[in-house]
Amino acid sequence: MISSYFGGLLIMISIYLILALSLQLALGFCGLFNLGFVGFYAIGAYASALLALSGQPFWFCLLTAALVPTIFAYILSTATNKLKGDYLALATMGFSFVIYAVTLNWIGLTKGPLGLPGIPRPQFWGIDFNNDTNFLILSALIAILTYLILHKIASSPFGKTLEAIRDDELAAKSLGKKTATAKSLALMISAFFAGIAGCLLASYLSYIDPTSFMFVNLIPILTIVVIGGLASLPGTVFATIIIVLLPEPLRFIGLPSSLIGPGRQLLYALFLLLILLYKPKGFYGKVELE
Amino acid sequence: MERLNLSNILEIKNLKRSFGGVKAVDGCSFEIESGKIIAMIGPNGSGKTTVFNLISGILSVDSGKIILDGSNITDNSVEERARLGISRMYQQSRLFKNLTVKENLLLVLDQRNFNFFARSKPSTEQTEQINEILDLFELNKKINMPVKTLSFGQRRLIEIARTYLLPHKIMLLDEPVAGVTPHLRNEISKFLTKLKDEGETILIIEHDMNFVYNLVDEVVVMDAGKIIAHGNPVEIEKNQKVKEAYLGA
Repeated sequence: MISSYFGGLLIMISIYLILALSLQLALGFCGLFNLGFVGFYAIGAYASALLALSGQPFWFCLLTAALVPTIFAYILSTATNKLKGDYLALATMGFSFVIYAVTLNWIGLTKGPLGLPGIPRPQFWGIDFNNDTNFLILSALIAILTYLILHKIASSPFGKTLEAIRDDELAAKSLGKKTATAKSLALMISAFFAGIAGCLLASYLSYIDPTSFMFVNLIPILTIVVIGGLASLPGTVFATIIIVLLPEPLRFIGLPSSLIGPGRQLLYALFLLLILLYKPKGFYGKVELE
Repeated sequence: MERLNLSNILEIKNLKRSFGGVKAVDGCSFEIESGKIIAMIGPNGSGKTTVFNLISGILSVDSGKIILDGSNITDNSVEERARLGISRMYQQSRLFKNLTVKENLLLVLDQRNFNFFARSKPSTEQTEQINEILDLFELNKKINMPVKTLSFGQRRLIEIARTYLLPHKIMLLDEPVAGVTPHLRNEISKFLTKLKDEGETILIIEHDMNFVYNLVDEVVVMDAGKIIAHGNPVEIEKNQKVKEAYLGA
Protein backbone atom coordinates (compact mmCIF):
# COMPACT_ATOMS: atom_id res chain seq x y z
CA MET A 1 0.00 0.00 0.00
CA ILE A 2 1.50 3.32 -1.08
CA SER A 3 1.23 6.27 1.30
CA SER A 4 -1.42 8.80 0.41
CA TYR A 5 1.14 11.57 -0.12
CA PHE A 6 3.42 9.54 -2.35
CA GLY A 7 0.47 8.03 -4.22
CA GLY A 8 -0.88 11.53 -4.83
CA LEU A 9 2.46 12.62 -6.26
CA LEU A 10 2.55 9.67 -8.63
CA ILE A 11 -1.01 10.34 -9.77
CA MET A 12 -0.12 13.97 -10.51
CA ILE A 13 2.97 12.79 -12.38
CA SER A 14 0.70 10.59 -14.53
CA ILE A 15 -1.72 13.44 -15.22
CA TYR A 16 1.03 15.95 -15.98
CA LEU A 17 2.78 13.39 -18.17
CA ILE A 18 -0.33 13.00 -20.34
CA LEU A 19 -0.61 16.79 -20.60
CA ALA A 20 3.06 17.28 -21.42
CA LEU A 21 3.18 14.48 -23.97
CA SER A 22 0.17 15.91 -25.78
CA LEU A 23 1.69 19.41 -25.81
CA GLN A 24 4.95 17.88 -27.03
CA LEU A 25 3.22 16.52 -30.13
CA ALA A 26 1.85 19.93 -31.10
CA LEU A 27 4.81 22.08 -30.03
CA GLY A 28 7.86 19.86 -30.14
CA PHE A 29 7.02 17.84 -33.23
CA CYS A 30 4.90 20.28 -35.22
CA GLY A 31 6.13 23.65 -33.97
CA LEU A 32 2.62 24.87 -33.09
CA PHE A 33 3.07 27.44 -30.38
CA ASN A 34 -0.38 26.81 -28.97
CA LEU A 35 -1.01 28.80 -25.81
CA GLY A 36 -4.65 27.71 -25.72
CA PHE A 37 -3.67 24.28 -24.49
CA VAL A 38 -5.02 24.81 -20.98
CA GLY A 39 -8.40 25.49 -22.58
CA PHE A 40 -8.55 21.91 -23.86
CA TYR A 41 -7.59 20.62 -20.42
CA ALA A 42 -10.42 22.69 -18.89
CA ILE A 43 -13.01 21.56 -21.42
CA GLY A 44 -12.11 17.92 -20.77
CA ALA A 45 -12.26 18.36 -17.00
CA TYR A 46 -15.60 20.18 -16.97
CA ALA A 47 -17.20 17.91 -19.59
CA SER A 48 -16.32 14.77 -17.66
CA ALA A 49 -17.16 16.33 -14.27
CA LEU A 50 -20.64 17.38 -15.38
CA LEU A 51 -21.35 13.97 -16.87
CA ALA A 52 -19.98 12.14 -13.81
CA LEU A 53 -22.12 14.29 -11.52
CA SER A 54 -25.17 13.37 -13.58
CA GLY A 55 -24.42 9.68 -13.06
CA GLN A 56 -22.87 8.77 -16.42
CA PRO A 57 -20.45 5.82 -16.53
CA PHE A 58 -16.72 6.57 -16.45
CA TRP A 59 -15.99 5.31 -19.95
CA PHE A 60 -18.57 7.78 -21.35
CA CYS A 61 -17.12 10.61 -19.28
CA LEU A 62 -13.60 9.77 -20.49
CA LEU A 63 -14.63 9.55 -24.14
CA THR A 64 -16.55 12.82 -24.00
CA ALA A 65 -13.64 14.49 -22.19
CA ALA A 66 -11.42 13.45 -25.09
CA LEU A 67 -13.77 14.22 -27.99
CA VAL A 68 -15.19 17.61 -26.99
CA PRO A 69 -11.78 19.35 -26.81
CA THR A 70 -10.91 17.64 -30.10
CA ILE A 71 -13.86 19.34 -31.76
CA PHE A 72 -12.81 22.67 -30.29
CA ALA A 73 -9.29 22.06 -31.55
CA TYR A 74 -10.63 21.51 -35.06
CA ILE A 75 -12.53 24.82 -34.90
CA LEU A 76 -9.51 26.65 -33.46
CA SER A 77 -7.12 25.21 -36.05
CA THR A 78 -9.44 26.18 -38.90
CA ALA A 79 -9.66 29.73 -37.57
CA THR A 80 -5.90 30.08 -36.99
CA ASN A 81 -4.60 28.10 -39.94
CA LYS A 82 -2.72 30.89 -41.63
CA LEU A 83 -1.17 32.18 -38.41
CA LYS A 84 2.32 31.35 -37.26
CA GLY A 85 4.69 32.01 -34.40
CA ASP A 86 3.71 34.96 -32.21
CA TYR A 87 0.40 35.50 -33.99
CA LEU A 88 -0.65 31.90 -33.44
CA ALA A 89 0.43 32.18 -29.80
CA LEU A 90 -1.68 35.32 -29.29
CA ALA A 91 -4.74 33.90 -30.99
CA THR A 92 -4.60 30.65 -29.04
CA MET A 93 -3.94 32.53 -25.81
CA GLY A 94 -7.20 34.35 -26.50
CA PHE A 95 -8.92 30.98 -26.73
CA SER A 96 -7.66 29.94 -23.29
CA PHE A 97 -8.86 33.25 -21.79
CA VAL A 98 -12.29 32.73 -23.35
CA ILE A 99 -12.56 29.21 -21.90
CA TYR A 100 -11.47 30.48 -18.51
CA ALA A 101 -14.04 33.27 -18.70
CA VAL A 102 -16.77 30.77 -19.56
CA THR A 103 -15.87 28.50 -16.62
CA LEU A 104 -15.88 31.54 -14.33
CA ASN A 105 -19.05 33.22 -15.57
CA TRP A 106 -21.40 30.53 -16.85
CA ILE A 107 -22.58 29.94 -13.32
CA GLY A 108 -25.63 27.95 -14.37
CA LEU A 109 -23.40 25.28 -15.89
CA THR A 110 -20.08 25.42 -14.05
CA LYS A 111 -21.08 27.11 -10.76
CA GLY A 112 -18.46 29.74 -11.57
CA PRO A 113 -15.86 30.43 -8.86
CA LEU A 114 -17.53 27.95 -6.49
CA GLY A 115 -16.51 25.10 -8.74
CA LEU A 116 -17.94 21.60 -9.02
CA PRO A 117 -17.57 19.56 -5.83
CA GLY A 118 -18.38 15.91 -5.21
CA ILE A 119 -17.19 14.52 -8.55
CA PRO A 120 -17.35 10.76 -8.10
CA ARG A 121 -14.36 8.52 -8.70
CA PRO A 122 -14.68 5.99 -11.54
CA GLN A 123 -16.69 2.87 -10.92
CA PHE A 124 -16.35 -0.20 -13.12
CA TRP A 125 -15.48 -3.90 -12.93
CA GLY A 126 -16.15 -3.84 -9.19
CA ILE A 127 -12.89 -1.96 -8.50
CA ASP A 128 -12.88 0.63 -5.72
CA PHE A 129 -11.22 3.69 -7.26
CA ASN A 130 -11.73 5.67 -4.07
CA ASN A 131 -8.62 3.75 -3.11
CA ASP A 132 -5.74 5.93 -4.32
CA THR A 133 -3.59 2.94 -5.21
CA ASN A 134 -6.23 1.68 -7.63
CA PHE A 135 -6.65 5.17 -9.06
CA LEU A 136 -2.89 5.42 -9.46
CA ILE A 137 -2.84 2.18 -11.44
CA LEU A 138 -5.62 3.49 -13.69
CA SER A 139 -3.95 6.85 -14.33
CA ALA A 140 -0.53 5.24 -14.82
CA LEU A 141 -1.97 2.81 -17.37
CA ILE A 142 -3.61 5.67 -19.26
CA ALA A 143 -0.32 7.61 -19.14
CA ILE A 144 1.61 4.61 -20.49
CA LEU A 145 -0.96 4.09 -23.23
CA THR A 146 -0.70 7.78 -24.13
CA TYR A 147 3.07 7.50 -24.39
CA LEU A 148 2.88 4.40 -26.58
CA ILE A 149 0.29 5.94 -28.92
CA LEU A 150 2.15 9.24 -29.26
CA HIS A 151 5.45 7.41 -29.76
CA LYS A 152 3.86 5.44 -32.57
CA ILE A 153 2.48 8.61 -34.13
CA ALA A 154 5.80 10.45 -33.80
CA SER A 155 7.68 7.59 -35.51
CA SER A 156 5.16 7.33 -38.35
CA PRO A 157 5.20 9.04 -41.75
CA PHE A 158 2.67 11.49 -40.30
CA GLY A 159 5.08 12.27 -37.45
CA LYS A 160 7.86 13.01 -39.93
CA THR A 161 5.51 15.26 -41.88
CA LEU A 162 4.85 17.19 -38.67
CA GLU A 163 8.59 17.58 -38.07
CA ALA A 164 9.03 18.80 -41.62
CA ILE A 165 6.33 21.42 -41.02
CA ARG A 166 8.07 22.48 -37.82
CA ASP A 167 11.39 22.93 -39.59
CA ASP A 168 10.09 24.58 -42.76
CA GLU A 169 6.42 24.64 -43.64
CA LEU A 170 6.93 26.12 -47.09
CA ALA A 171 9.42 23.43 -48.01
CA ALA A 172 6.95 20.81 -46.76
CA LYS A 173 4.26 22.31 -49.01
CA SER A 174 6.74 22.24 -51.91
CA LEU A 175 6.96 18.48 -51.43
CA GLY A 176 3.19 18.20 -51.81
CA LYS A 177 2.42 17.84 -48.10
CA LYS A 178 -1.04 19.04 -47.00
CA THR A 179 0.34 21.11 -44.16
CA ALA A 180 -2.93 22.73 -43.07
CA THR A 181 -4.57 19.33 -42.59
CA ALA A 182 -1.52 17.95 -40.81
CA LYS A 183 -1.38 20.88 -38.38
CA SER A 184 -5.07 20.58 -37.69
CA LEU A 185 -4.71 16.89 -36.92
CA ALA A 186 -1.74 17.55 -34.63
CA LEU A 187 -3.75 20.07 -32.65
CA MET A 188 -6.75 17.75 -32.48
CA ILE A 189 -4.68 14.80 -31.21
CA SER A 190 -3.03 17.09 -28.66
CA ALA A 191 -6.45 18.30 -27.46
CA PHE A 192 -7.75 14.71 -27.30
CA PHE A 193 -5.16 13.70 -24.72
CA ALA A 194 -5.34 17.02 -22.87
CA GLY A 195 -9.04 16.34 -22.39
CA ILE A 196 -8.27 12.88 -20.99
CA ALA A 197 -5.87 14.48 -18.51
CA GLY A 198 -8.66 16.88 -17.51
CA CYS A 199 -11.00 13.95 -16.88
CA LEU A 200 -8.43 12.25 -14.64
CA LEU A 201 -7.79 15.45 -12.70
CA ALA A 202 -11.50 16.00 -12.08
CA SER A 203 -11.97 12.37 -10.98
CA TYR A 204 -8.93 12.38 -8.71
CA LEU A 205 -9.52 15.68 -6.91
CA SER A 206 -13.31 15.21 -6.85
CA TYR A 207 -13.48 18.98 -7.24
CA ILE A 208 -12.59 21.45 -9.97
CA ASP A 209 -12.83 25.21 -10.23
CA PRO A 210 -11.66 27.76 -12.79
CA THR A 211 -8.40 28.51 -10.96
CA SER A 212 -7.00 25.13 -12.03
CA PHE A 213 -7.30 26.24 -15.66
CA MET A 214 -5.95 29.74 -15.66
CA PHE A 215 -3.43 30.59 -18.36
CA VAL A 216 -0.61 30.57 -15.78
CA ASN A 217 -1.15 26.82 -15.30
CA LEU A 218 0.37 26.31 -18.74
CA ILE A 219 3.77 27.28 -17.35
CA PRO A 220 4.67 23.97 -15.65
CA ILE A 221 3.56 22.00 -18.71
CA LEU A 222 5.51 24.21 -21.08
CA THR A 223 8.48 23.97 -18.70
CA ILE A 224 8.33 20.18 -18.86
CA VAL A 225 8.28 20.19 -22.68
CA VAL A 226 11.20 22.62 -22.94
CA ILE A 227 13.31 21.06 -20.18
CA GLY A 228 12.79 17.53 -21.44
CA GLY A 229 13.66 18.72 -24.93
CA LEU A 230 11.52 19.53 -27.92
CA ALA A 231 10.49 16.46 -29.92
CA SER A 232 11.70 14.10 -27.21
CA LEU A 233 9.13 11.83 -25.59
CA PRO A 234 11.61 10.17 -23.19
CA GLY A 235 12.78 13.66 -22.22
CA THR A 236 9.19 14.57 -21.44
CA VAL A 237 8.92 11.64 -18.99
CA PHE A 238 12.13 12.65 -17.26
CA ALA A 239 11.17 16.30 -17.05
CA THR A 240 7.67 15.55 -15.73
CA ILE A 241 9.11 13.69 -12.77
CA ILE A 242 11.55 16.55 -12.07
CA ILE A 243 8.97 19.30 -12.37
CA VAL A 244 6.31 17.61 -10.25
CA LEU A 245 8.82 16.72 -7.53
CA LEU A 246 10.85 19.96 -7.67
CA PRO A 247 8.59 22.18 -5.53
CA GLU A 248 7.80 19.47 -2.97
CA PRO A 249 10.60 20.49 -0.57
CA LEU A 250 8.73 23.79 -0.16
CA ARG A 251 6.13 21.89 1.89
CA PHE A 252 8.69 20.92 4.46
CA ILE A 253 10.62 24.14 5.01
CA GLY A 254 7.89 25.89 6.97
CA LEU A 255 6.67 28.33 4.30
CA PRO A 256 3.16 29.69 4.89
CA SER A 257 0.65 27.90 2.66
CA SER A 258 -0.18 31.18 0.90
CA LEU A 259 3.40 31.34 -0.34
CA ILE A 260 3.74 27.75 -1.51
CA GLY A 261 1.75 28.36 -4.73
CA PRO A 262 3.70 31.47 -5.82
CA GLY A 263 6.91 29.80 -4.66
CA ARG A 264 6.16 26.88 -6.95
CA GLN A 265 5.60 29.18 -9.94
CA LEU A 266 8.81 31.04 -9.16
CA LEU A 267 10.78 27.80 -9.08
CA TYR A 268 9.35 26.70 -12.43
CA ALA A 269 10.15 30.02 -14.05
CA LEU A 270 13.68 30.03 -12.62
CA PHE A 271 14.35 26.50 -13.74
CA LEU A 272 13.02 27.27 -17.22
CA LEU A 273 15.24 30.33 -17.53
CA LEU A 274 18.33 28.36 -16.48
CA ILE A 275 17.64 25.64 -18.99
CA LEU A 276 17.01 28.13 -21.79
CA LEU A 277 20.29 29.87 -20.98
CA TYR A 278 22.57 26.87 -20.52
CA LYS A 279 20.87 24.00 -22.28
CA PRO A 280 18.57 25.44 -24.97
CA LYS A 281 17.75 22.01 -26.38
CA GLY A 282 16.72 20.74 -22.98
CA PHE A 283 18.05 17.46 -21.62
CA TYR A 284 17.14 15.17 -24.49
CA GLY A 285 15.88 17.41 -27.30
CA LYS A 286 17.33 17.61 -30.76
CA VAL A 287 15.57 20.85 -31.63
CA GLU A 288 16.48 24.26 -30.33
CA LEU A 289 13.64 26.53 -29.26
CA GLU A 290 13.54 29.47 -31.68
CA MET B 1 -10.38 28.25 -78.40
CA GLU B 2 -6.68 28.21 -77.53
CA ARG B 3 -4.80 25.14 -78.80
CA LEU B 4 -2.34 23.81 -76.30
CA ASN B 5 0.98 22.57 -77.56
CA LEU B 6 1.12 19.23 -75.80
CA SER B 7 4.86 18.81 -76.29
CA ASN B 8 5.26 21.77 -73.92
CA ILE B 9 5.56 20.75 -70.30
CA LEU B 10 5.20 24.32 -69.09
CA GLU B 11 3.60 27.36 -70.69
CA ILE B 12 3.78 30.79 -69.11
CA LYS B 13 1.31 33.21 -70.67
CA ASN B 14 1.57 36.94 -70.07
CA LEU B 15 2.34 36.69 -66.36
CA LYS B 16 2.09 39.88 -64.37
CA ARG B 17 2.83 40.56 -60.75
CA SER B 18 3.35 43.86 -58.96
CA PHE B 19 4.35 44.76 -55.42
CA GLY B 20 2.82 48.13 -54.72
CA GLY B 21 3.91 50.29 -57.63
CA VAL B 22 6.77 47.99 -58.66
CA LYS B 23 6.13 45.70 -61.63
CA ALA B 24 8.24 42.72 -60.64
CA VAL B 25 7.00 40.62 -63.57
CA ASP B 26 5.48 42.51 -66.46
CA GLY B 27 3.97 40.38 -69.21
CA CYS B 28 6.27 37.38 -69.16
CA SER B 29 5.55 34.59 -71.68
CA PHE B 30 7.54 31.52 -72.72
CA GLU B 31 7.19 27.76 -73.18
CA ILE B 32 9.35 24.86 -72.14
CA GLU B 33 9.31 21.77 -74.32
CA SER B 34 9.55 18.36 -72.74
CA GLY B 35 13.16 17.24 -72.37
CA LYS B 36 14.68 20.72 -72.65
CA ILE B 37 16.83 22.58 -70.17
CA ILE B 38 16.24 26.31 -70.10
CA ALA B 39 18.21 28.90 -68.18
CA MET B 40 16.76 32.13 -66.90
CA ILE B 41 19.34 34.85 -66.56
CA GLY B 42 19.20 38.54 -65.80
CA PRO B 43 20.52 41.17 -63.43
CA ASN B 44 19.53 41.11 -59.76
CA GLY B 45 15.96 42.31 -59.35
CA SER B 46 14.96 41.46 -62.90
CA GLY B 47 12.12 39.20 -61.73
CA LYS B 48 13.58 35.70 -62.17
CA THR B 49 12.84 34.42 -58.67
CA THR B 50 9.43 36.11 -58.78
CA VAL B 51 8.65 34.09 -61.91
CA PHE B 52 9.71 30.96 -60.03
CA ASN B 53 7.50 31.93 -57.10
CA LEU B 54 4.56 32.45 -59.47
CA ILE B 55 5.12 29.08 -61.17
CA SER B 56 5.45 27.20 -57.88
CA GLY B 57 2.47 28.99 -56.32
CA ILE B 58 4.18 30.86 -53.51
CA LEU B 59 2.90 34.07 -55.07
CA SER B 60 -0.41 34.51 -56.84
CA VAL B 61 -0.47 36.11 -60.26
CA ASP B 62 -2.06 39.49 -60.87
CA SER B 63 -2.89 38.27 -64.37
CA GLY B 64 -1.76 35.62 -66.81
CA LYS B 65 -1.79 31.84 -66.94
CA ILE B 66 0.44 28.97 -66.01
CA ILE B 67 -0.20 25.73 -67.89
CA LEU B 68 1.51 22.54 -66.72
CA ASP B 69 1.34 19.63 -69.14
CA GLY B 70 -1.92 20.89 -70.60
CA SER B 71 -3.60 21.78 -67.29
CA ASN B 72 -4.18 25.31 -66.08
CA ILE B 73 -2.61 25.47 -62.61
CA THR B 74 -2.78 29.24 -62.14
CA ASP B 75 -5.09 28.98 -59.13
CA ASN B 76 -3.64 25.84 -57.53
CA SER B 77 -1.91 25.95 -54.15
CA VAL B 78 1.81 25.24 -53.62
CA GLU B 79 1.21 21.69 -52.47
CA GLU B 80 -1.22 20.98 -55.30
CA ARG B 81 1.32 22.15 -57.88
CA ALA B 82 3.98 19.99 -56.25
CA ARG B 83 1.70 16.96 -56.52
CA LEU B 84 0.93 17.84 -60.13
CA GLY B 85 4.62 17.76 -61.01
CA ILE B 86 6.47 20.94 -60.11
CA SER B 87 9.57 20.20 -58.08
CA ARG B 88 11.38 23.27 -56.86
CA MET B 89 14.78 23.96 -55.35
CA TYR B 90 15.12 27.30 -53.55
CA GLN B 91 17.89 29.86 -53.61
CA GLN B 92 18.18 29.65 -49.79
CA SER B 93 18.55 26.27 -48.15
CA ARG B 94 15.15 24.82 -47.27
CA LEU B 95 16.10 21.43 -45.93
CA PHE B 96 14.48 20.14 -42.73
CA LYS B 97 17.45 20.95 -40.56
CA ASN B 98 16.59 18.84 -37.52
CA LEU B 99 16.02 15.72 -39.61
CA THR B 100 18.70 13.45 -41.02
CA VAL B 101 19.69 13.24 -44.68
CA LYS B 102 17.75 9.98 -44.99
CA GLU B 103 14.64 11.47 -43.35
CA ASN B 104 14.80 14.50 -45.66
CA LEU B 105 14.90 12.28 -48.73
CA LEU B 106 12.36 9.80 -47.41
CA LEU B 107 9.83 12.59 -46.90
CA VAL B 108 9.90 13.06 -50.65
CA LEU B 109 9.48 9.39 -51.51
CA ASP B 110 7.01 8.41 -48.79
CA GLN B 111 3.61 9.83 -49.63
CA ARG B 112 1.79 8.14 -46.73
CA ASN B 113 1.46 11.57 -45.09
CA PHE B 114 -1.50 10.74 -42.86
CA ASN B 115 -0.52 7.26 -41.89
CA PHE B 116 -0.26 7.41 -38.09
CA PHE B 117 0.70 3.91 -37.29
CA ALA B 118 3.07 2.69 -39.98
CA ARG B 119 6.75 2.87 -39.24
CA SER B 120 8.55 5.65 -41.09
CA LYS B 121 10.98 3.25 -42.70
CA PRO B 122 11.94 3.18 -46.37
CA SER B 123 10.91 0.27 -48.56
CA THR B 124 13.61 -1.65 -50.43
CA GLU B 125 12.97 0.37 -53.56
CA GLN B 126 13.11 3.66 -51.65
CA THR B 127 16.33 2.60 -49.93
CA GLU B 128 17.86 1.86 -53.34
CA GLN B 129 16.80 5.24 -54.71
CA ILE B 130 18.25 7.06 -51.70
CA ASN B 131 21.50 5.09 -51.77
CA GLU B 132 21.88 5.57 -55.51
CA ILE B 133 21.65 9.33 -55.36
CA LEU B 134 23.84 9.62 -52.26
CA ASP B 135 26.39 7.40 -54.02
CA LEU B 136 26.40 9.74 -56.97
CA PHE B 137 27.08 12.70 -54.69
CA GLU B 138 29.51 10.74 -52.47
CA LEU B 139 27.37 11.45 -49.41
CA ASN B 140 26.57 7.89 -48.27
CA LYS B 141 28.45 8.37 -45.00
CA LYS B 142 26.20 11.31 -44.15
CA ILE B 143 22.96 9.39 -44.54
CA ASN B 144 22.10 9.33 -40.83
CA MET B 145 23.51 12.76 -39.96
CA PRO B 146 21.23 15.72 -39.27
CA VAL B 147 21.42 18.01 -42.28
CA LYS B 148 22.38 20.94 -40.09
CA THR B 149 25.78 19.27 -39.59
CA LEU B 150 26.49 19.28 -43.34
CA SER B 151 28.54 21.91 -45.11
CA PHE B 152 26.84 24.45 -47.37
CA GLY B 153 27.87 22.60 -50.52
CA GLN B 154 26.70 19.25 -49.17
CA ARG B 155 23.33 20.77 -48.31
CA ARG B 156 23.00 22.08 -51.86
CA LEU B 157 23.61 18.56 -53.13
CA ILE B 158 20.94 17.13 -50.83
CA GLU B 159 18.53 19.82 -52.02
CA ILE B 160 19.21 18.87 -55.62
CA ALA B 161 18.74 15.21 -54.70
CA ARG B 162 15.45 16.01 -52.99
CA THR B 163 14.23 18.04 -55.96
CA TYR B 164 15.12 15.18 -58.30
CA LEU B 165 13.54 12.44 -56.17
CA LEU B 166 10.17 14.18 -55.86
CA PRO B 167 7.99 12.73 -58.66
CA HIS B 168 7.89 15.57 -61.15
CA LYS B 169 7.29 16.78 -64.68
CA ILE B 170 9.63 19.72 -64.40
CA MET B 171 12.40 20.74 -62.01
CA LEU B 172 12.90 24.38 -61.07
CA LEU B 173 16.41 25.03 -59.81
CA ASP B 174 17.13 28.43 -58.31
CA GLU B 175 20.89 29.10 -58.52
CA PRO B 176 21.97 25.51 -57.85
CA VAL B 177 25.70 26.29 -57.91
CA ALA B 178 25.69 29.62 -56.09
CA GLY B 179 28.32 29.63 -53.37
CA VAL B 180 29.66 26.11 -53.99
CA THR B 181 33.26 25.14 -54.64
CA PRO B 182 34.49 24.59 -58.22
CA HIS B 183 34.69 20.84 -57.52
CA LEU B 184 31.04 20.72 -56.43
CA ARG B 185 30.03 22.88 -59.36
CA ASN B 186 31.52 20.25 -61.66
CA GLU B 187 29.69 17.49 -59.80
CA ILE B 188 26.39 19.35 -60.15
CA SER B 189 27.09 20.09 -63.80
CA LYS B 190 27.76 16.39 -64.47
CA PHE B 191 24.56 15.46 -62.67
CA LEU B 192 22.48 17.93 -64.67
CA THR B 193 24.06 16.70 -67.89
CA LYS B 194 23.06 13.17 -66.89
CA LEU B 195 19.50 14.40 -66.29
CA LYS B 196 19.51 16.07 -69.68
CA ASP B 197 20.50 12.78 -71.30
CA GLU B 198 17.61 11.12 -69.44
CA GLY B 199 15.18 13.62 -70.99
CA GLU B 200 14.43 15.67 -67.88
CA THR B 201 12.79 19.06 -68.25
CA ILE B 202 14.54 21.71 -66.17
CA LEU B 203 14.29 25.46 -65.69
CA ILE B 204 17.34 26.97 -64.02
CA ILE B 205 18.06 30.43 -62.65
CA GLU B 206 21.79 30.97 -62.73
CA HIS B 207 24.30 33.82 -62.88
CA ASP B 208 27.29 31.73 -63.91
CA MET B 209 27.36 32.13 -67.70
CA ASN B 210 29.90 29.40 -68.33
CA PHE B 211 27.87 26.93 -66.31
CA VAL B 212 24.72 27.79 -68.20
CA TYR B 213 26.08 27.93 -71.75
CA ASN B 214 27.66 24.47 -71.56
CA LEU B 215 24.48 22.85 -70.33
CA VAL B 216 21.28 24.42 -71.59
CA ASP B 217 19.24 24.28 -74.78
CA GLU B 218 17.76 27.75 -74.50
CA VAL B 219 18.23 30.92 -72.48
CA VAL B 220 15.54 33.36 -71.38
CA VAL B 221 16.89 36.76 -70.43
CA MET B 222 14.93 39.02 -68.09
CA ASP B 223 15.38 42.65 -67.24
CA ALA B 224 13.05 44.87 -65.19
CA GLY B 225 10.31 42.24 -65.14
CA LYS B 226 10.26 41.65 -68.90
CA ILE B 227 11.80 39.06 -71.19
CA ILE B 228 14.25 40.89 -73.41
CA ALA B 229 15.66 37.87 -75.27
CA HIS B 230 14.97 34.18 -75.76
CA GLY B 231 17.13 31.86 -77.82
CA ASN B 232 19.97 29.38 -77.81
CA PRO B 233 23.14 30.27 -75.86
CA VAL B 234 25.08 31.31 -78.97
CA GLU B 235 22.34 33.73 -80.06
CA ILE B 236 22.06 35.18 -76.56
CA GLU B 237 25.78 35.71 -76.28
CA LYS B 238 25.68 37.88 -79.41
CA ASN B 239 22.48 39.73 -78.48
CA GLN B 240 23.18 43.44 -78.03
CA LYS B 241 20.24 44.06 -75.69
CA VAL B 242 21.50 41.29 -73.40
CA LYS B 243 25.00 42.70 -73.45
CA GLU B 244 23.72 46.12 -72.41
CA ALA B 245 21.32 44.93 -69.73
CA TYR B 246 23.27 42.10 -68.24
CA LEU B 247 26.75 41.60 -69.42
CA GLY B 248 27.53 45.33 -69.15
CA ALA B 249 29.12 45.62 -72.57
